[in-house]
Amino acid sequence: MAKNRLSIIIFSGTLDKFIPLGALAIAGTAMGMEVNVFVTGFAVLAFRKSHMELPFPSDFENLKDLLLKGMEKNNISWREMLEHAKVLGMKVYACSMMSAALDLTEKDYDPIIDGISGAASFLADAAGSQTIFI
Amino acid sequence: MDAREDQKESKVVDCRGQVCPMPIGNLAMACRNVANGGMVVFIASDLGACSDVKAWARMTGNKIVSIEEGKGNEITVTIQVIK
Repeated sequence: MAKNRLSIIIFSGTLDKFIPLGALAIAGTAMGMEVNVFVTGFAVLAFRKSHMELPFPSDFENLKDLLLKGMEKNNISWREMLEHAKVLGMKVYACSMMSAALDLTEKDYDPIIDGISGAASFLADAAGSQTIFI
Repeated sequence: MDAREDQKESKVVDCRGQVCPMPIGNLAMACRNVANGGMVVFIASDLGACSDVKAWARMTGNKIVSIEEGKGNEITVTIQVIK
């Protein structure tokens, strides 16, 4: 049986969007899917070795505390979810164009990043898979 | 399952108090170290756990032997690992 595959593009760099990224990455890998994440846009900044505090979308600024306290109660962070998915086989690639634009090389990235890759490679890997844009 | 298999101890994966997607993530992690035919008892309380474990079994080919509903949202699911 061919493996089911899930491709995720994480583009948004705001904290709230990383929660569904982590959840889908775990759910996909747990269900035996090949999960391939392409990190682009300002999302690349979240994967630098120097873990920065992620911005929150201004439209929901008044709900930030509610979400942060809720996730604390849930006792799980997006980064822990991604680390879990990583153990289950997820692959994560940083966009080469955004890396160049923001002056980031492989040595600047957290080990969760498997490498720097281009749009063509992502599309080739994503061909025929379920694809989600966040 | 033959009698010899039946006597093997089940592995318990207690995910009570964990929220989606952690119960399924931890179940998948635990099943990696279980041989084909081995039994796992999965306990969870997340509101999505019952439908999630069924979806997980359907997608991965593992077999749900029984599902028992307990107090509150708690479920106890006996699974036979199929590899």
